[in-house]
Amino acid sequence: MTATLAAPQTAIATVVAYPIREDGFLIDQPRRGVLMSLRGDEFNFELAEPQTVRRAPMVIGVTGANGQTGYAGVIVAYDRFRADARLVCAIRGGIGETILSEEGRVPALEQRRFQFQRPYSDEIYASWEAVGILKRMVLDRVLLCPGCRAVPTFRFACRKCCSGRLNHPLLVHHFACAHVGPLSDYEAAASLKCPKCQTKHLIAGTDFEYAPAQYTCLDCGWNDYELEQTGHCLNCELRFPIHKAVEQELVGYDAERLDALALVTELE
Amino acid sequence: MHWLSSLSWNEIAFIIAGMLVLDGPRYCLTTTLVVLYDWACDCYRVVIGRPEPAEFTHCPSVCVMIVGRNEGDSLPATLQSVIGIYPRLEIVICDDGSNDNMSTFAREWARQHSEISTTVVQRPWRGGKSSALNLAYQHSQAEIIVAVDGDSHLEPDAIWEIVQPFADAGIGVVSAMVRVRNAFTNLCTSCQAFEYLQSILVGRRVSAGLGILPLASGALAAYRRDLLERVGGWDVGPGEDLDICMKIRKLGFQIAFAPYSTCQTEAPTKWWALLKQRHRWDGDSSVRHFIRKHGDYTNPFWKTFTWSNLLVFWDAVIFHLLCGIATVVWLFAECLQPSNVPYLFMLLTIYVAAVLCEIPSFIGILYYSRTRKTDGVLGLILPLMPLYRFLMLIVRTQANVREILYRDSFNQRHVPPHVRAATWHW
Repeated sequence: MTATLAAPQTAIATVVAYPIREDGFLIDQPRRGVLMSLRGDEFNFELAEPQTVRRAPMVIGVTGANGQTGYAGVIVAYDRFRADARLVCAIRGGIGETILSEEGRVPALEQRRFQFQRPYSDEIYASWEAVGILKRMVLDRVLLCPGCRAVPTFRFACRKCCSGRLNHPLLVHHFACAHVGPLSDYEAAASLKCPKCQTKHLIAGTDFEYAPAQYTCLDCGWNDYELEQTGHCLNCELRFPIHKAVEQELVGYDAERLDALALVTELE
Repeated sequence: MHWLSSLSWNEIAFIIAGMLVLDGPRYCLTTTLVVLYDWACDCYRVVIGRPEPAEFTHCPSVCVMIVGRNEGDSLPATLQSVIGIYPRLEIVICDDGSNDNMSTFAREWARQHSEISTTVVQRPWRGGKSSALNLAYQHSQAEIIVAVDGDSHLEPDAIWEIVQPFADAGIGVVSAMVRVRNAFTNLCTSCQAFEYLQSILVGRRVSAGLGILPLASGALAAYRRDLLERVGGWDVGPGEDLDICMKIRKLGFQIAFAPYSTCQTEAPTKWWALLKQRHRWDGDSSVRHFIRKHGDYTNPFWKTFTWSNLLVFWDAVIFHLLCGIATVVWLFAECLQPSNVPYLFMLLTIYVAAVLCEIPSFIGILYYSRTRKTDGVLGLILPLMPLYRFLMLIVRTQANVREILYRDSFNQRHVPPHVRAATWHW
């Protein structure tokens, strides 16, 4: 795309521009001005600011006739200073656009450490939120590992050591003699045979039922009927009961993105 | 005396038969002998200055099993009575398909009392008490399994007392004392309370002393775990507590009685409920278990035969089955063949004799009891006991006859229908 500085035209919308540093922090105070023209991702606007300001990337907020402000991150392609104003030809992109994009605003699961992360520091988002570019919103609440804040897997596991490696044999209750024992004791050649009364060819439902059996932990040997919902951290391997998990708000930011096509349509 | 001397031998035989079938002389004689023997032993110990033996010297690991259905209301007090009464204790609670909050409460209790190893087993549907017991005891590695009903409350030394007889390797099961918690609610419960004292505190002491105790009440009984495994656990009820004791006796082990291992249980307060309960209890014991299922007790060529088991068999058959039937026959005979003796006068004589026969067992109660004051007050009911016994005897006879004719015990609602349908009808 070739950006050219358009000739002076009449203003079509008001613009507020926030210069930003390469690391994402906002610089100084916003500059106000007017949008002269736009073409695709190219914006020509005039800012009232002293000549000392350098060609930093910006976030511009364009307020249309309906009073709504849409924001876009831009990099300055050309600029020209006049006595008390600056004519800027900017193209959508740069770090501002990165932060305004969904990937920049919403925390994502980092694949190696299984932690929710946003690409920039909280201070940057706070400064953007302070001037009204971003709006803080709670996306979800998540339970995280109390050790490293990574995402665990949750499953029913041993109440003692939180291991998910469990043995759960089936117990069989033979109605006729009231014997209750593991299924393996009943298994005979091609059918089931009660080890107590020696009755053969047992039929499920008619002759026997399955009874609840204890879980046996293969790691610590703990026996219990009840399992507990526990977490197993995918990052640090910590096992912990669910009540020890850290509950954390998953916070993202919302931004009103500048829709150039909608703005043009509105102007027409 | 003049009246007695005027009777013919035939008439005296009728009177003696009446006394015999009322079971009085048996208790009277044996109780007198055993109480006198114990009294003599105590006197001898005092005379020679031998100190009383140390109370608790045996401390095996114990698992208290509480098996029940819809016992959510009574379970809290039962569990409360178990806390801190024995050092090597674990608890298994088995909920046999309850519709109430039994297992929820049990789990909550287990969480609150994490110092006691507690396992809660919840069956999603009802499978019967026997299989629930079989399921429960497999979840413990304790040497001694103590079965407790969900509505039984243990007294503080109950577990210590019940495990002491296991110091003798020949003891397989220990029966405990069951007392009526609501003894003074009404006449019905008072009669039951006195009957429990007679038949358990004194009667079982006598039977255990003679080596012919056949039963440990399901309300509180202790079993050696290895023996439970050898006999395959409990069979389908009703009467599963008698059945397993009989199976363990066949292995050559004795049943001991721990008179001061006490649990309190709730007795029926209505006469009709009591009669139904006794009908249920009595129907299966003599006919189903002694005669039909464990008839090999009488076979001297059978490998499990012992003379004490033979005595147990005849004790049950004569006094629990034949005496009842004889009573009914005797009553009819008396009605149909009026003798020279005025009928009411003869009945009154029998009744007075029966009351007199109760006195030795009452003395036995006072001698052995540790709560003499309360038990002494219950003795006021003694003159009514022959009447009560007669009522119970009629119920027992009816239950036995129905069992002989219809195998009634296999239709009891205490066993789930699908289990009833599948089990063997002895």
